[in-house]
Formats: sequence, structure tokens, C-alpha cells
Amino acid sequence: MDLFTVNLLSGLTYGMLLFLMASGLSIVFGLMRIINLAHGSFFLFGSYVAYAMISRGMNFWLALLLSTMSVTILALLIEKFLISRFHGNEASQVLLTLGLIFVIGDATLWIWGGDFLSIPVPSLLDFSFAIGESSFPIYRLFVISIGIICAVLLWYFETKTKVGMIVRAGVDDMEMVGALGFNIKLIFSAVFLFGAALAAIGGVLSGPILGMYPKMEFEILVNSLVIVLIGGLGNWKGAFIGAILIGIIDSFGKIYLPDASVLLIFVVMIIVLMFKPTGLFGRVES
Amino acid sequence: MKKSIIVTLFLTLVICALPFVITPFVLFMLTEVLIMAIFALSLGLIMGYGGLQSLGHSAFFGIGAYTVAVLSEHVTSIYILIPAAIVISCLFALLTGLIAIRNKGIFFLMITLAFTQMLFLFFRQSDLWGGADGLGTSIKPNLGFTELGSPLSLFYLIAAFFVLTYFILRLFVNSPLGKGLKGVMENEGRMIALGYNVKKYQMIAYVVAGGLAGLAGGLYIFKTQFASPDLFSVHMATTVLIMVFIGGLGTLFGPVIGAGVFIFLQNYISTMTDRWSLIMGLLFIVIVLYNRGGIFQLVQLIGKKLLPKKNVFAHKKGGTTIELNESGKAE
Amino acid sequence: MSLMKVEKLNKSFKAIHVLKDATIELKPGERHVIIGPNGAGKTTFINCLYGTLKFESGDVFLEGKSIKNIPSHERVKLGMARTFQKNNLFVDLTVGENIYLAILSEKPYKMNFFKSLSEYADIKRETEEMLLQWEMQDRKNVKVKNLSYGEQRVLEIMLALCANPKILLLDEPTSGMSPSETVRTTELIKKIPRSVTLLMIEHDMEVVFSTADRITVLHHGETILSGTPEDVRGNEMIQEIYFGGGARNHA
Repeated sequence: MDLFTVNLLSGLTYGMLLFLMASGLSIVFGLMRIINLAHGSFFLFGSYVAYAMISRGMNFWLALLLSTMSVTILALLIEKFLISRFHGNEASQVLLTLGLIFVIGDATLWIWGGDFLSIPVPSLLDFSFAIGESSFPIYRLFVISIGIICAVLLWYFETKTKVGMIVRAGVDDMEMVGALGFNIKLIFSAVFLFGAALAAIGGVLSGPILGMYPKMEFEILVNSLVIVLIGGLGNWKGAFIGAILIGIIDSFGKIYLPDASVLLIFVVMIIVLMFKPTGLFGRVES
Repeated sequence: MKKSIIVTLFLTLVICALPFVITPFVLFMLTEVLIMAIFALSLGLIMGYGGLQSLGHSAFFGIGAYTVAVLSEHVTSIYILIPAAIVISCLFALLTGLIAIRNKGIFFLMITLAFTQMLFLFFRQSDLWGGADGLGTSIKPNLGFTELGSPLSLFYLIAAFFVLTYFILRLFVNSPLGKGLKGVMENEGRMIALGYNVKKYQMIAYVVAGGLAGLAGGLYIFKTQFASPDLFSVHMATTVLIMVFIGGLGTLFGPVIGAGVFIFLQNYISTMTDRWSLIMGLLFIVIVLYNRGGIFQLVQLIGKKLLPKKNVFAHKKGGTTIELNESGKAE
Repeated sequence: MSLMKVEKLNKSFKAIHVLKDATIELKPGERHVIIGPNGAGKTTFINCLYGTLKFESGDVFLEGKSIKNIPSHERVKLGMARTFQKNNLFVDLTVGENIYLAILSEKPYKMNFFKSLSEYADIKRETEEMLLQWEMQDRKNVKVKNLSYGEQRVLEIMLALCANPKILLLDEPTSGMSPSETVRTTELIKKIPRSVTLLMIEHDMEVVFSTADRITVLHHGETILSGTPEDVRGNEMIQEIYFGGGARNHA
């Protein structure tokens, strides 16, 4: 039973990291109808930048803030100079971001090399608590709570604020929002940057747990894609449920079905898509 | 049909003559070009004619490769190996297509990517066929009357398959089926209204493309004698995507040219720097920026801006047009 | 015996109840026009009839058989065809290729491969006939995006007719046309043989009264009247709600 709890919490931890990544992916899609394939690169780049700062003696929390900011600036440049040039041309936008994966991936390989790196757990949270016979690191509990806090904030933002209302209306009908006099381009940029910042936070927080290694962005990206496919594209709720599901399946799969664990999430995806092609919370497009 | 035969004969002649005028190293590279050209042709079929953007096309290439690599321990006859590679790839296309083709555009791209990653992880982890280390073989393709060992004979074998693939696809795109497929890409909704079963067309194209990519993967093993999980990687899928884009969408020969340009560039640049991946990414971005986006989109944009204006103008002149705005929301 | 019968169709988009018990009956060969103010649900009605949209309740009968569960791409085989309010053509293909595709959909060899499409003589001949009938011979090799707007509207109708339909649904065939284009197109529509039953949405009252055998008025999603043009002209309620506002402004 204790082991069960530990596995459950581990799965939740992984799920929340994926949620931070997938929610941005999903919200950006909901509004702009593009899948930013380089979203995983934001995740990984964030953790590498934080690693560079922390390994030079910087405080974890400051590094978290600064690396999130640097990823946001990177995202701003990408949005401004590449993606926004193809407004309304989804295919080109997706392909652009595919090219970016390789540019960012190879640049990080160039700078930080191909070894497995990891960020030390911040000293403030560097202890464990006991669950019966087993113990569980408090840092992971912290990651879970960050994920939940983000979900709550997203919910608040979406339902209670004016900007959230505009974004929500934009998911339904972008032209109408433009006709009402809101600056669509600005909303696009803001949401894109917000998504990138979430991914970066996820990346930095994952540093002490998952570490960093080349081509990790593909794994994170594909897992996030599976999550949004399962949960339904376009809203953070689907990403939240999907991420928890995938995190837990992954965690228990590794214990009970070690040989097939990598296939398990795809099996779940296939089953969901067979019965609900638009995902659990996806909207049917007319 | 006649024109296709003439073009194909010309192509055959050129390829037959090539080894007499080029160095062994170029021949070696050209063999790879032809394999990748088959691969790119197959992706070009579903992208340029079927309108399906796939980020998982390497799955079929990998399946074809592993099929040949695994079977080559028992048989060497190409009459078994090649059909097996094609059939198994087609089967995988059929199964994944059932799920992927129900969804459009970006969903298709994501689902194909997910399936490919699934195979990548599976082949990397599984102990069955060498796992992450890959699977080596020492196959000499057996044609029944002779075994092929030399690079030249291998070149001719692969060239023969390339010409055959090109010929079949040429017939395909000019046939009623191919024209229908083109219609699906141009305007899916209209094809449905005309009574076409659009999904069926896409499915056929997807399975044919899968089979051809499997063929390319099988031939690849004849050349490299080594199957690695990396064949399933997104990197591989992107590589072939870039080839198709370099050559241009919607033409048959485009992907072939793209494969040629790409492989020569790759070999050339890799000798100078380790940063091929970075350069490839930049190259891709530049292609998207200037090839598809640049001039092409500008023309489209101007067209779009002109048309509605004309429409409004005509509306004002329209005779006894009745427009009431009592309840104007639902339509 | 009616060719098509639509019974008590209901359709909502979220909270908006667009069609309320909409009902219509088509006799073979008749020219039936649906009129109604913007937002009355006319296009939604056509979309439901054709299966492009699903509806909550009601039924659609073609020659006495319910077709509500038949997917729209199979309805062509049953003899239904439609045009769209907005042009929906293969803009990057030529006029000839557009018509090829439309005719091909009815051919038994449409799934053949290996033999080139250009080697089938019947499709060539039928394309020429169609171009001749609609006075578009000289536009055959022009890309659709280079046609005038009116010509594109005409091509819409041509494509729909290629399937040899029993029923043709026309969604505002003359919308956006210049007056001269409207006159010409109306003449061409009148030439459509009586073997084809027409169901048409139309705003232009001249077109409506010069083509219609019967008119159905759709108002707030309800089919409030079905009758001859004289019935509609004579009905006070129709005059009130329909001609009361806009017509005067325009006339």
C-alpha cells in the first residue's frame, strides 16, 4: 500500500511536469490553430539555461525566474520574426517549428555537450518524508503542488478575468474577437509567450527529477502530444486530465509491465482515439 | 501511358549510363540518393497529392528495414525479402491509417508522429532485435540466378526498383484514382459533396506510400547491412520531409531532386562541421520562409484581398436583393 | 407521389434553436424556392437535407425512404447534388479539370489506376457537352481562380449537375453576381431539364418569381407557408414580415 502511494505520487509528479508542457501546447493550439512542435525545445532549453546558472553558483529560485524569462524572450523572437509572418497558414507554421527543434536542439548540444546533466534539488526542499516504510522526496510534492496551482490559476484566469474571456471567445471565433476591436496579434503573442513560460518552468522543475540529455525534447514533445490527443486539443483541462493519466500509467507501467511500459501510453491513446477521435474533452469541429 | 513509358525509358537510359561517368564514391552516394528518392517519392505522394502531412513516415522505412534485416538471417532471395518488407509496411499503414485518417490536418501529423515514436521506443528497448544497438546483417541479395555483392550491381538493383517505383507512381497520379486524390487535396469538402469517399482515397494513398517507404527501407538494408532504431526517429521523418520540400510539393520528380540535393549537401557539409543538424534546421526554416511562404503566399494573399472586394461591389449593384436583419445570428 | 419529403426538422446550435419543425415537400420536376430573411435558417436547412449537418429530430425521405442516416457522400448515388453559398471549387485546377472530377465521381472506373484518365473518351465527351450547354467552352483551360465571380457561381451549378442528380439543391446561385450575370445565370438555370427537381435558396425576388413553381417561406426556422408564387404574393402575413422591411428600402 505504501509502495502504491509512492508510485501514485511519482506518477503525479511526472504528470504535472508534462501538464506544464502540454497545457501551453494546447492553449496555443486552441487560439492559433497551430501545434508548436518546438514547444519541447522550450522545455529543454529552460532546464539547460537554469543548469548553466545553478552550476555557476546561482540560487535555484533566481535561476528558475531568469531561465523562464530567457525562454520567454526566445519565444518572443520566434513568434515575432517567424511564426507571425505566417498568420493563417498553419502548415507553414508547424513546419517552421519543426525546423526550430533541430536548430535549438543542436545549439544546446553544441553548448552543453551530449552528457546526461541534472540540476541539484534546491536545499530548501532537499529532504524526504516517510510514507509507512517508504519515503518520498518533498521536492516532488512541491512539483505536484506547482502543477495544481497552475491549473487553478489557469481556471481562474480563464473564467474570472477579462483577458481570459477574450481568449476563450477567441477559441470559438477569432474573427469576432478581432471585430470587437481587440488586438488579435497581441493576444496571439501573449498566449504564445505564456505557453512558452509554462514549458520553461516545467523544464527547470524537471531538472532535478528527469535531468537533461540530447533529444529529450522529442520524448517530452511526443508525450505531450499524446496527452493533448487523449485529453482533447485546445483547452488546458484536457491537458490536465491527460497529463495525470499518462503520468500515472507511465509510473505503474514501469512497475507492473516493465517490458511494455513504453507502449502503454500509446495503447491508451489508440483506445481513446478509437472511441473519441477528438479526445476526451475535445470539441467536434463543424 | 505512352508518355509515361517514354519518360521512364529515358530515365532508365540515364541511370544505366551514369556509372560510366562518375567516381565510385559518387556512385556510392547515388545509391543512397535513389533509396531516399523512393522514400521521398512515397511521402510526396501523400503530401503533394493526398494533402496529408505526415511526421511519421519513417515508421514504414524502419519497418521495411527491420523486416529485411530480421528475415535475412533465414533467406536471401529478394523475391521474398522485398515483398515481405512491402506487405508488412502496408499492413502497418492500414492499421494506423484506420485511426490517423479519421482526423484531419494537424491531428494526422500528431498521430503519425506518435505511432512512429512508439516504434522507436519499442525497437530501442526490446531485446528481440538488438535493442538500442541495432541489428547487423551480412546479406547479399539473391536474385535467383546470381548474388549481388559489388557496389555496382547493388546500384543497378536499387536503380531498377527506383525506376519501377517512378513508373508506377506516374501511372498512378495520372489515373482516375490519382486525379481523384489530387481533388481531395485541393478541396476535400467539395469532393465529399461530389460523392467521393474521401477517406478511402486518402487511405489508399497512405497504404501505397507506406508500402513504398517499406520498399525503400528494405533496399536500405541491402546497402548498409544494418538496421538501427534511429530509422524510426523523428529525425529521419524530418529528413525525408525536408527532401520533399526542397524539391517542391505536388510534382513527382520534385522529391527525387530533393533527395539528391539533400544527400549531397549532407555529405559535403558533414565533412566540414559537426553542426549538420543545426544547418539542416536552418535550411528547412529558410525553405519554409521563402519557398512556401515568400512569393507563393504573397500571390495568394493579393488574390484573397481582391476577391471579396469584387463580391461586395457586385452585391451593391444587385437588383432587388432583399436583406432583412431581423434575426441574423445562426447563419 | 412526392420525390422528397422533409418532416419536422429540428436543429440547434448551442442555445439557438435554428430550425423548428421545418417541413417541406418536393414534387418531381418542380422548381421549389425557399425564401426568408437572413438568419431564418435557410442554409442550415439545406445542410441538414444534404446531411452536411446532423439534426436533432425529424426525418428526411427520398422517394419514400428515410435517408437521415446516410452519409452525405453517398447521397450523390441516390440522386442528390448541391451547390454552396460560398463558392466551393477546385480553385487551383482548370475549369475542365473541375468538370472531369465531377463527372468522374459517377464513373465505374473512378478507382482505376494505371490507365491514364485522359484516355477515357466518354468523360472527355461529356465534359465538352457540359461546357457547351453552359456556354463555357472558351474557359476550359482557365484556372478557376482566374474566372470572374459570376463564372465561378455558374461552374458551381455545372459541377452539381455532372452527377445527373434527381434533386439539385442550389444555395443562392446568383448571390454576389452583377445584374447581367444574374439574368444570364437565371436563363441557364431555367434550361435545366425538368428531369432534375430544383430546390433553391434565393434572395433576388425577380429570380424567385421567374423560376419558382412553388415557394416555401422560412421564418425564424419555421416553414410558415408553402404555396404557389401567387399564394405567397397574396398572403398578408408574408407581405408583413418579409416585404415589410427590406424590399422598400431596396426598390
